[in-house]
Amino acid sequence: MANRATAIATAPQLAMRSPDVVMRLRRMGASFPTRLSFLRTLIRRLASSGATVRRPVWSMDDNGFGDAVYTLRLGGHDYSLVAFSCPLPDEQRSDRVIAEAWDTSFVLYDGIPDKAEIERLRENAPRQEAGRFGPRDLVLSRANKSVRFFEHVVDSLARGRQPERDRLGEVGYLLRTTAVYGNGKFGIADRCVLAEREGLTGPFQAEMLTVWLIREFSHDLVEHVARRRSPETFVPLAPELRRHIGVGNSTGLGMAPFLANHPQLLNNWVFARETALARVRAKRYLDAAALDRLGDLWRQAGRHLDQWSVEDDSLMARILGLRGEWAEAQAWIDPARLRAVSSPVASLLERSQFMSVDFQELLAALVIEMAGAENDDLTDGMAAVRETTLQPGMRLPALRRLLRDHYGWALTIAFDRPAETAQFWYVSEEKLEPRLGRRAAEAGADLELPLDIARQVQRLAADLEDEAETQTVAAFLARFPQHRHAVRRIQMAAIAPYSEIRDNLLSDRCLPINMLRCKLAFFGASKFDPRSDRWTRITLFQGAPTRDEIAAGETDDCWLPVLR
Amino acid sequence: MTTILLSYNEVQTLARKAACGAGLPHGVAEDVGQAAVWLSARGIDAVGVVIDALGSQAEVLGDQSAIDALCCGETAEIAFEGRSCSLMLIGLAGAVAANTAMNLTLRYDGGVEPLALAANPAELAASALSLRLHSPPDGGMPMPRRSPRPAATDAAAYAAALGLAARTYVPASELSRAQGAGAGTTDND
Repeated sequence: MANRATAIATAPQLAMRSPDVVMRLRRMGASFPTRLSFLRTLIRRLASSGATVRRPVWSMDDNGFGDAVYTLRLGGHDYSLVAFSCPLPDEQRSDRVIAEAWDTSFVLYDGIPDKAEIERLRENAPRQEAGRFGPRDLVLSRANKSVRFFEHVVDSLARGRQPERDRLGEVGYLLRTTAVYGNGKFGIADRCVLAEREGLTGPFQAEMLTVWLIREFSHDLVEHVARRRSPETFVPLAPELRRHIGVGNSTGLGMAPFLANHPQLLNNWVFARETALARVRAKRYLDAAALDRLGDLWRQAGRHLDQWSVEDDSLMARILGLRGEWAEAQAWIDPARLRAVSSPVASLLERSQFMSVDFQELLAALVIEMAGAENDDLTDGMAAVRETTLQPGMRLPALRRLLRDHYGWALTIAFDRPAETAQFWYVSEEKLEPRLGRRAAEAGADLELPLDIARQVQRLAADLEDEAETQTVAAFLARFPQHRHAVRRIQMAAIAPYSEIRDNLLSDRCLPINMLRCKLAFFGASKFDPRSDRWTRITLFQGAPTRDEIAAGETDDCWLPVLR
Repeated sequence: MTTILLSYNEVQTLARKAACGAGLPHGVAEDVGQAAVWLSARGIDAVGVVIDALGSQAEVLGDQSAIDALCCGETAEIAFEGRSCSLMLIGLAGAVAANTAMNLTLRYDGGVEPLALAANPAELAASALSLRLHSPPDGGMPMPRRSPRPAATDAAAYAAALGLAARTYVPASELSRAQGAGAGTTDND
């Protein structure tokens, strides 16, 4: 990856955006999904492999409580979603990680489970974190119903009607996942097992497959309950409405430190996206088909923005602003105008610098979408086999140079100001999940997580000042082992320019929602719906092909869904 | 002996957290986690090794520094004599060898074994003499192989590691509960 990254970055025709621009929290918090997002990669793989989904088990009572199994074959392996649906009192329905019961629970299973295996999973999956899992269990998840919308769809279909389009557009999902666990959690299979599986090698592909199958389950479940309620008048979901029903997700603080804890992986994701953007920017001209595509996508994005409304005042104000900017800039994409300029994409991106960050990031995602499959090769480099290793033989002048070149942003932060250390990250004893505390008001700052990257770098820089020029990193760390973490990160920056969030994560200005949106956009999420500055709801796979449509590949709505 | 079957991720995370809880710097604890994965992939109860090793943090720090020095040629050899936990040193070196493709080699009473090929480090540790760095063989180092699942973990060591890890957790308070993500909202919509 490193050599490939360096080779691409140094190619003269590619002008990459600077990490000082890209890796700021505010901009990360304006991220949109792109064609390189993980769920898009999965859809293309499912389509190209001719995957077909079977449902060998469907054992549900009239109220939709029971078991189901969905299976498909991918890359020479069978995978099964084992689903359990249980009654849940309203007072127990919570999206918070401290919940202990859910409407539905799921395991993505390696193979096709027999009765004994289904029974084992029935004992454990509904208990989630309190259960215990094994190497054939690949992903663990759970979801709650969007209660009112689920009932509305049941009632509508049972009466022979389709659900109201406005309500469907407003909610967009029947089930909302509150955790999707992979990589060895609670005993499930390690990521290294999947890393060698054709079709699931990219980041979070097994998790995305799980969610896509949960979406199928949600469609089947709502139709099942409606049919049992009134078999004579029942009608199935219309295909275009079914396609617009994705899977919701609630994500909180637990996800936020992931980006800081996986710098190589973060770099690979951002590097792929920025490389795609740079390739498109470098186009000298756009042919008629590309200009048409640009116009279509512009209109689609505009309609998507019109259908995206949230309760959060801050984001809603941004969406309203973005709608206005998008409409005002419509003239930019006039084909005659774009044909008249050289490097039309670069021209568009340069003009966008005078618009909001939200506009800039939406436009960046749009031009990547316009380029279509020509950037799909970049998804191969988005996984990380391992995080980087220390280079003990590096001399201190080289380390100082890296620090100066890549961490200038960190050296300017005034940590003597209380506002710059107002928050601290820690792990809660109650649920073993990351939390964010106020230093002045809460206990526990002495146990804070090492997400204070900028502060660590400043301390390292201070200890490096008086050290001998000829010294190696090995000798320095023998005396200052507390700097090992920071040194490793700094050495990585030379080959992974987008590995670091270039903001102070302790500052009172640090909003975890920005980290969440960045990560979720790489997943392929849309309709970000923040409920505070530390958790958000999103929608996955809205507009994506269903199992009956998957052979045809991506739909026009895979990027930014629009209810037509 | 009661054992528990963990995933590699659980072994790595628990070892790292235990090392942090014992007081080792985060960057060193990350390496202890990597070492635990390497050892557990070769039939060793790595959590047990980590718990033993954390009894002497100075030795773990010394092991890590010695391996750094060996890898950059500042020392020619690391002797095992006088060490209380040879397996921790082997694990730390094994992880470096696996992650960097360096040819770190174990000299023991009876022969020499590249760590990249070491299938039974526990046996080697009993008669280990020194670690050395050699040039990689023509054709490069072989890809490290590991078993599909880690070796079983002794329940007592597991409990001890959980206890050390728990030193890094912050107890909940009314304030933290009230300000947690999603607090105070209804999800019956």
